[in-house]
Amino acid sequence: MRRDGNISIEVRKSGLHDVTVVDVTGVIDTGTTLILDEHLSGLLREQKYRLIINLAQVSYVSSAGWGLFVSLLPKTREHQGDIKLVAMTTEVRNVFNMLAFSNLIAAYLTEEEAIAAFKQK
Amino acid sequence: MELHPTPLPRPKTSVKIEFSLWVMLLVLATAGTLTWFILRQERDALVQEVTRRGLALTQYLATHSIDPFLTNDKLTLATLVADVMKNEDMVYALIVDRDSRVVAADKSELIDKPYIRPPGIPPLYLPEPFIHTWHHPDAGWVIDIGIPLILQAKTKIGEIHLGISHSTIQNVVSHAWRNAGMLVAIFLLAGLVGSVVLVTLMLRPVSALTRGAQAIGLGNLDYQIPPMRPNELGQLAETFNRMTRELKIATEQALEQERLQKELQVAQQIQQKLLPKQLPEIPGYSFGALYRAAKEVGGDYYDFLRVGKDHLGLAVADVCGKGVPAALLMSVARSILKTIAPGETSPLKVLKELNRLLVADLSRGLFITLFYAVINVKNRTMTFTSAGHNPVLVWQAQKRQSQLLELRPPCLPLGVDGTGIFERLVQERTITLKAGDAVILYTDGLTEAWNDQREEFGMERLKEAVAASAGLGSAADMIQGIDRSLIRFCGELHQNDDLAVVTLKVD
Repeated sequence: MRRDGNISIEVRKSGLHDVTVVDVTGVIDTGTTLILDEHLSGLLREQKYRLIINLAQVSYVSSAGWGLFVSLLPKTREHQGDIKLVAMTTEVRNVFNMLAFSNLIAAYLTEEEAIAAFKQK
Repeated sequence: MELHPTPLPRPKTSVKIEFSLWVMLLVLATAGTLTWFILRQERDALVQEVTRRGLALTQYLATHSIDPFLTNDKLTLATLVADVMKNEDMVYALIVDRDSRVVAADKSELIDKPYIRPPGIPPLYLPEPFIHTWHHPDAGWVIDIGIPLILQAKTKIGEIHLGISHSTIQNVVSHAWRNAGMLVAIFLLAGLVGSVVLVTLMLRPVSALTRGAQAIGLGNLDYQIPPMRPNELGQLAETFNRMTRELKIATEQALEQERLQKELQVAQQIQQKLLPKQLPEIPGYSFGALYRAAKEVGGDYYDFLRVGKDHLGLAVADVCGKGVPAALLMSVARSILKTIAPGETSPLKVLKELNRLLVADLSRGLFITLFYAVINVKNRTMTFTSAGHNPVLVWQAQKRQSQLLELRPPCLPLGVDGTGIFERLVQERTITLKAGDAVILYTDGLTEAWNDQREEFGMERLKEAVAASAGLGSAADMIQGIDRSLIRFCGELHQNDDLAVVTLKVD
């Protein structure tokens, strides 16, 4: 029950530590990755380097989607920021684990944990 | 896109002729009606004029003939009649007595003869004049104006009849008709010339439009209709030109699309050639392979590599993304692997080298997952490593329980890290293969194939399919068994992702 090719993206301020939260709903496949890329690259252009991507409503992330996260990561870290993934569904987490991406990208169960991690920086 | 250059037949009728005919018909109808109406009025006016004159003469005769009539003074009556006859268009003048006998007349031979009443004229009793037009045998149409001679307003003593010719009126009217006819003819001619000139002028832009449409119909999409006056036709021409420009762009795009499509087909052919043409033939082993590209070109890859005399390399890879970029990256990875694999029996070393070379070349965000194993065919061991690839299944035929082993050594995919994390994570392990054991390598196109209920084939169904087909015989039979399960599950539904499956079976 996934990959309908639709995505909706909402950007909001967490109000804490200058962190921007991106709520994604739908699937992140080859097509929708392009849409997500526009949003995230836009945030980086606005010098918002502390990003939390909430994947609670995402049923699938394709390799192109993972590639996007990995490719944006260095830019955020150059500016003392980071991309943190939160609330991955089991399906998404399985792929995340298979790719061993926990070695590259920080993942948290909840948004609060991710915000707290930014605070410690 | 093919255009059909068939010239159009000439039109059967001409707008010029049609329009001219209509204009002439209109002129004829208008001028004819107008002339008829005016001439009728003219004739009525003439008749009225003649009648008025006749009435005056009749009154005159009546007034002056009472006394000579009573005294039977025929000479005076004859003089009066002769006087009246001097007037224009007079045909006859008669004075008749009570007994219908002619007392005085313009013609002397009628005197004292009975009055022959013309048809339609009754004996007159009322003091008003009676006017009646009748056809005289010699003079043609005649207006008869008659009044009774009445004495002391009560006794009728006779009648007076004057006949005035109608032919003068008719002459005038016929003359007018002739003039009007000539005038109508001139109008018609002018209308004809005018309409032809007007239609030619009006049709000039239409001809330009027609020429344009024909040129475009013959395939000339560069044709532009010259600018026109800014009326409706000018607007049409502008719309037409815009349409042509857009059609040209669309045609070019379609041709470009076609060209790209052909290039993709060529790319597909090249890619198919990059996959092994035949399965390895090694005694004691059988191999099977299945490859299906979702689009024209895909990013999945499998290979059998000759590592050494007793060593065979087995690789299955999935490049992130799809289409041409994925296929290009796949061919790069394949070339590197083909170069570094021979002679190197440690998959770990191969993967580290592969990652080092790919990280240097790959743009950020691109990566490859790869499962690479080196099989020592002599002592039946498999040393394997994985870079973020899907778990590889090993069917252990001689085990009674948990016959399916999942090999998933955790590691990053190739191409994402050059800082040492990959080198730290990547690991190799060795397992021993026994008789009847099988190894199943695949890409996520297999486990993520979905059916029309949008359900995935998934790991559990794959495991069931492997278990069901493991005892079928050769590795190729196993692949067929897995493929049958897959097709049973998702039918012929077009899949979004490429698919590669490789099997190895120990006899």
